[in-house]
Amino acid sequence: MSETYDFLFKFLVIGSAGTGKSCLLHQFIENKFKQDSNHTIGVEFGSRVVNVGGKTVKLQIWDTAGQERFRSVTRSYYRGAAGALLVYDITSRETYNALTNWLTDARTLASPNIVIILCGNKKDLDADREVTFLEASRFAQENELMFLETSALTGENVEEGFLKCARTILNKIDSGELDPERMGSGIQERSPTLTSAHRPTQTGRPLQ
Amino acid sequence: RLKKEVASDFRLSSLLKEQLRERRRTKMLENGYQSLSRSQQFDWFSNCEEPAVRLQPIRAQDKVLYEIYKPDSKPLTLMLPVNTSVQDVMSAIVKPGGDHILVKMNSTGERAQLKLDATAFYTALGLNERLFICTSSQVEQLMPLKEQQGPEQGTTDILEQMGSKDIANELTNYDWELFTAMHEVELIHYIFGRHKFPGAITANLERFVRRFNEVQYWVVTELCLCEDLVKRAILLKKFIKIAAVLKEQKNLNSFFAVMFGLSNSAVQRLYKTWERIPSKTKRIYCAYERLMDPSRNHRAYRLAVAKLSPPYIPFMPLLLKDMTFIHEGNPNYVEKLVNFEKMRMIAKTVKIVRGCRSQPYVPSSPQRGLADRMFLEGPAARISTYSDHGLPLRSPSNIRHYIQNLKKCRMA
Repeated sequence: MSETYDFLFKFLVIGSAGTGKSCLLHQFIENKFKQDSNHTIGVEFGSRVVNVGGKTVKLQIWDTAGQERFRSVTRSYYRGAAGALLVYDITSRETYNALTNWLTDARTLASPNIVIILCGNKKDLDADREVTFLEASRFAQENELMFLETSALTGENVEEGFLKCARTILNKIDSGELDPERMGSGIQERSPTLTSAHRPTQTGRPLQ
Repeated sequence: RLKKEVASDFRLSSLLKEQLRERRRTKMLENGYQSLSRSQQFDWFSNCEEPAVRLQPIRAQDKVLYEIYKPDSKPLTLMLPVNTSVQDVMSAIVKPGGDHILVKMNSTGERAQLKLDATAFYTALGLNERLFICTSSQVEQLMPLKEQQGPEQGTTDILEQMGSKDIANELTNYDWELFTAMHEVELIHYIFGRHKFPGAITANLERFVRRFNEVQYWVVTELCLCEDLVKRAILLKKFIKIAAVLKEQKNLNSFFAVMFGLSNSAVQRLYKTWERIPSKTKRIYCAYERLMDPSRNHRAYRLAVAKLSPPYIPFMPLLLKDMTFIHEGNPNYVEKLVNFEKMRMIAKTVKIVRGCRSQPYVPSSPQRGLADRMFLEGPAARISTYSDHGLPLRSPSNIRHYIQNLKKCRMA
C-alpha cells in the first residue's frame, strides 16, 4: 500500500468508559460492524488515509479506551493532537456529565488549536436515551465544539465525524489560523517514505 | 442444529470452565508462592511488632466493610458481601418504602445516583469517591467530606527519614501482594463486563487499579504540600530515585505511577524545584519519560518490557487498554460462531499476566547495613504523632505502614 499523503493528523478519541470509543475507531478504520465481516483486528493503533477536499490526509487515531480510570495516563496522549473526538453515550447521563472534565483536559493539555467534535454515541439505542439531542447541541455550542450523534453499531455518522474534524483542520490551515510547521500542532506535511509514515509528531517531551 | 448450539452462550462458558480449571492450578502455584514469600525476611524486626499479615485475596462470598455517609456526614459502617446490590445495601440501612437513594460523590461534589440493580459497586469506587445515603430531596445538599479533600499537610519530615530504596522495597512488596491477590480471570470479567458473569467479582483487580492512582496522587500531593523549596527539590530528587529503584525491581506499575505523578502538570510547573535537580538526575528522568510516550502504540514501553524476565509487574493501564481494544473492536460471535480469533487474542494478553507471575517474587530483605548507617548519620528523630510504638521511622514496619496508608490530595 502506498503511504503518500499531503498531511498527517493526529487524532484522539476520548471520553468516559463504556461510551464505545474503540467501536467508533474500529468502525472507522475497518467497518467492523458489517455483518459479513469476520476479520479480527488486534491492538495496533489505527490509521486511515482519507480524501478531504482534494487533499489526501492520513488520520492517525489514538484510542484511550480502557484507561479512563487512570486520568493522568490518558493525559499523556494529548501532546501534539490536532483533533479529538469527545465521546459520550446518549443512554448514560453520567458519561455526559463527565464531558466538562474531559474538555478541560483537552483544552489545557492539547495544542490550543485542537479541533474537537462532540459525539453522542449509541444513537441506535434511542429508546434508552438519557440525553436529548437539543441539550447536547446546546452544550456543544457553548463550548465551541462541533456535534454529531453517532452509532458505532450501524456506522451512522461515524465517518462524518472524523471527516468533519479533518475538514475543519484543513480549513484552519488554509486560512492560516493553524500552522502545520509549528511543533506540537499534531500536523505533518507530506512525508512519503514508509519509515516515517508512522513517525510520531513528537517523541519524548522536553523538560522546561 | 449445531449452529444453534454454538450460537448460545455455551461456548463462552466452556471457555470459562477451562479458565476455572486453570484457576485451581494457578491457585496452587500462588499458594506455593505465598509460603515462600514471607518467611525469614522479616524476622529481623519481628520483636518490634506483630507479625506481618499478608494481604488476602477478596473472594466473591467475602464480606467487606462498607462505609456509607448520611447527609450530615456521619458514617454508617456495615459488613456486607463484596458483591451486594445497591438494593440490598439500602434495605440493610433504611426502612423499605422511603424514597432513599444511594449516591456516589467525588471530592469536587459531582454526584451520581447508583442504580438499584448495580452490584459490587463498593470496590469499584474511585479514589476520591464516597457513598452517601439520602432522600431524593436531600441530594442537592450533599457536601463532600472533609477527608475527601485530602491532607492539609505533607509528610516530608517522615519521608526524608526513610531511604528511597526502603520506600521502593515496601511499595513493591505491597504491590506484589495486591498483584498476586488478583486472579487473571478478573481481567476477563472486568473487560467483558462483570454483569455478564453472575457472581463474578473484580474486587482484587479494582483494588490494584486503585493503588496505581493512589501512588501517583501521593507523589503529587507530597510535592505540592512541601512548602520549603530546598526540601521540595530534595523530595523531587527522592521520587526520581524511587522510580529508578522501582524500575530496577521490575515493578513497572508503580514505576509508572510515580512517573505519572511527576509528570502531572501540578508538579511539572514547579520550575524552581526542577531547576535544583542535578543534571544527571534530570537525564535519568527524561530517559524514563520516554518510556511513557504513547507513540507508535507505546513502542518504547513494549520494547523495554519484552526484554524482562519474570517475575515482573506490568503496567496495568496498558494491559487493560489492549484488552478493551480487542474486546470492543471485535464481536464475540461471527456468523453465529464463536470468534475464536478474538478469544485467542484476549487469552494472549491474559497470559502476559500469568507469565509475569510465573516465577516467585522474593521480597528483598530490609537493608540492615543501610538502616544502621542511616541510624548513625541521621538525627534520632522520633515523631510520636506518626509512630504509636515510638519506633524510629526508618524501621521497615513503619515504612510499610506508611506505604500502605498513603495520603492523597483531592484531585480529579
